[in-house]
Amino acid sequence: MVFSSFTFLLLFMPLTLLGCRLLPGKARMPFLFAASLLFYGWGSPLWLLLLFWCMLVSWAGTLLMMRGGRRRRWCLVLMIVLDLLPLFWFKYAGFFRDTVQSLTGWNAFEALSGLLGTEVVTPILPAGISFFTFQAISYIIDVWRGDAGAQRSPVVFGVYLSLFPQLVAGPIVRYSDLEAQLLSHPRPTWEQMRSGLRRFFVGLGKKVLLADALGRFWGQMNGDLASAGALGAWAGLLAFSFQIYFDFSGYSDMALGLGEALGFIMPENFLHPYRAMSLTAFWRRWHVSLTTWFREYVYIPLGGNRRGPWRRDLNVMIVWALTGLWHGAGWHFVLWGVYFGVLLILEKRFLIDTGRMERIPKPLRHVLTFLLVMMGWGLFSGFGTALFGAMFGSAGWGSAAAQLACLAHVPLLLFCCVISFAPKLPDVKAWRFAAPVLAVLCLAALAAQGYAPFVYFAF
Amino acid sequence: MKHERRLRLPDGAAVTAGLLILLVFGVMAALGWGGTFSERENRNLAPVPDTPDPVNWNTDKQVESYLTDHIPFRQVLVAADSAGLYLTGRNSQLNTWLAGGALVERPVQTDELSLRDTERRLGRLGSFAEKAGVPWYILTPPTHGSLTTARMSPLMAAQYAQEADIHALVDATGHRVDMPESFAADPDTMYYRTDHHWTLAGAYQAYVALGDALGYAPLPLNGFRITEYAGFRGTTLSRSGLPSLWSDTLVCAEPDSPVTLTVTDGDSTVTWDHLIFPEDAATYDGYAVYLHGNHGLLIIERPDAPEGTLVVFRDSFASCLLPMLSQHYRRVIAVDARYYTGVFSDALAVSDDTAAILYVYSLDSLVNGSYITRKAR
Repeated sequence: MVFSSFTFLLLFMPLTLLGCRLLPGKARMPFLFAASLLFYGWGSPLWLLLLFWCMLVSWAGTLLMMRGGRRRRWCLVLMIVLDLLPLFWFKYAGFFRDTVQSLTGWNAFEALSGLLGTEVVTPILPAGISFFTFQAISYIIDVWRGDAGAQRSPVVFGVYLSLFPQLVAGPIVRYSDLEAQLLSHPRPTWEQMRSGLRRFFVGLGKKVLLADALGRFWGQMNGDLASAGALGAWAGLLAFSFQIYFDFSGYSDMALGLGEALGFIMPENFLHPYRAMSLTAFWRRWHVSLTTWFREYVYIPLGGNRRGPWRRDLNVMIVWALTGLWHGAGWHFVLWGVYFGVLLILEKRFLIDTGRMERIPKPLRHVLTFLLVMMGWGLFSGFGTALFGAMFGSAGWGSAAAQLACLAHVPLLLFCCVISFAPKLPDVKAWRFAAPVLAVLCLAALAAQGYAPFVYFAF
Repeated sequence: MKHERRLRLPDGAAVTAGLLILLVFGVMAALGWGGTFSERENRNLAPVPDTPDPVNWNTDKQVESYLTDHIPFRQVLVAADSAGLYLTGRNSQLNTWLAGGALVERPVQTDELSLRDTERRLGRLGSFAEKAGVPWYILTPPTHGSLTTARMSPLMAAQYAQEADIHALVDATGHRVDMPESFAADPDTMYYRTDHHWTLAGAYQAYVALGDALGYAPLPLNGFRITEYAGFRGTTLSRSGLPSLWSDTLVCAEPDSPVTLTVTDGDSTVTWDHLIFPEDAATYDGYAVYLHGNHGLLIIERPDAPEGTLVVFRDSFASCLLPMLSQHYRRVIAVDARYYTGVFSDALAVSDDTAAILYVYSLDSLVNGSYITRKAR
């Protein structure tokens, strides 16, 4: 189920929030668990098996691990491998097959089909698998490290792993951040519900009113880059940069808002990243829960910056290659990760460590940071050379239709610039009528998506 | 000291009310608000979802489609969203453009391939008529949008330039009937504000222009019986999703003498003694007032007319024109290839005194209507 669907907005959300508020204390956790399973299984009931697998491995495994003994480390490794197996299969098997086949001509799926006696096809990626797998791993490691206690109740652990606000797109919440709330889980106050719902509808507005409109424009441009030309390619990439931000940060707002309305306070995931004046600052503000995860569970265990600058740089490159791969199974994602790894190393070595960064005027730092991030989104988009070629004039300025489309989106892009870059903005969430107004506008936009006049009507 | 009395709602009243409103909307949608058919969209609304099948799971999509189609006040919500798009300058990205006070269709999109297809299509129409051995003509009216470019932004106006390529292809056949200059001079009179079709005034201009080509003396407009039907809201308004604040008046002309209209759709044939159907004016598809809507084959017979038979292959643009043409022909045979189950030569064989073949197609039909020539044999 997705937040921007009528099934969620008109049925699931009101029933779940009212249920959570009205039910007595003991019933709330099982209720939330059941609601979260329904939320996840609504997309495809079979995906629940993966979620159950991840829950079972992590919950039962940590309890076994905590019995102590010399095999604790092996137990930890085994649990991580078992948790990662479905992720590797569903997300990376096709990528692995394609890469090996392009290098050696050997098709791993055909070989596997021969071995199993049945046709092996590229699996469909289940929603949220990267998020709940990483969340499960953070739990296992935190328990192993002693940062959190092993949870004995399968229901409470199930709620932690499957809590529907953050299940399919984060934020990736560490168990230690949620442990106390899960154990006490007080009834959400009316103030929490009001504040949470306001934030939810602000997030929904970002997604439905901004990101979706920007996405349509970007789709129009990247669908025919030859016709889009330089103007369309630049405007399209700008739109994509905003789309990805408003889509993802909107989702995070919805997740945090729903969490609050249910009585859970989760860590922030986006801290106005496009206001950053360096790439280092950008990545401290963008998808904070993922960068925190990689720092805690990959970068620091690899040695972090404790083993000298060269080892630090190598660790940064490993983390960023993995970050790229986490975002998607494709070499352009790896390239995107490596791009940021290299830029972050260069920025650290030549600008931050030497103090030169401070000498660059702030507006210039701001513009350069955004441009580099935007180019990164160009790599991320997967249109690569065609997009960059069009941006730098390989297809001329663009057709009249592309120019018209760009002109039509100037007000929207300007609006996005203002709310992304302005140092201070009024807090929309504090406005009394923000939630109802945004709710009506979003419902209107969603209803309009289903409005489909028969084209030859009245011919 | 002055004490202000303010109404203070109990804690949680606003949140509960908000959630209950959403839930009521959801329940009403689930109960099938809005019925099973959307007149404005002319389509069936999503049906009740099938019994869930865990293996071939599709229930989530079916439920979502069902709720989307049945949400209460759907038309109001759609209108609010469309108005927002028009107000925020994204008019040009929609299928209908607001040009002055009229809604016009966006330009017919062409590329090298579609122009080649159009040229081939015109060639086939020409060779069919040549084979029949009768004079033939083709009428393709300029679009409403192309005549109102002065009221658009230059970039929007420039989009209509590509329609000239289609007109050039029609010109190249040597059988084009040109619309008089007065047609382009007053586009708002020639076209409806809420529909892509021409008005009676526009169709009358075509009728006059055809008189020169086909060799009849056009009657003045007051030589026909004229009827008017107010409150017509057409396709461009419907496609825009905008609220129904505009409307047009349908004006119809038909010969003031006995006439029969025989309509054949598949195996069924019905005959009437009139060409205008006032009862259809009150329906959502008000354009069906002309000739009772769209039909594969219709034959208009007026025994006291001076000329023989005129065969018209056409789209809906001809609906308003045919009653006027029937003033001059004992028999007008009109074929709409979208609904016609036979081939074009079947229609020609109906009569042995065919005086001419006339093609009446909009630019959109010519470029995108592969159906036009599928039966041209």
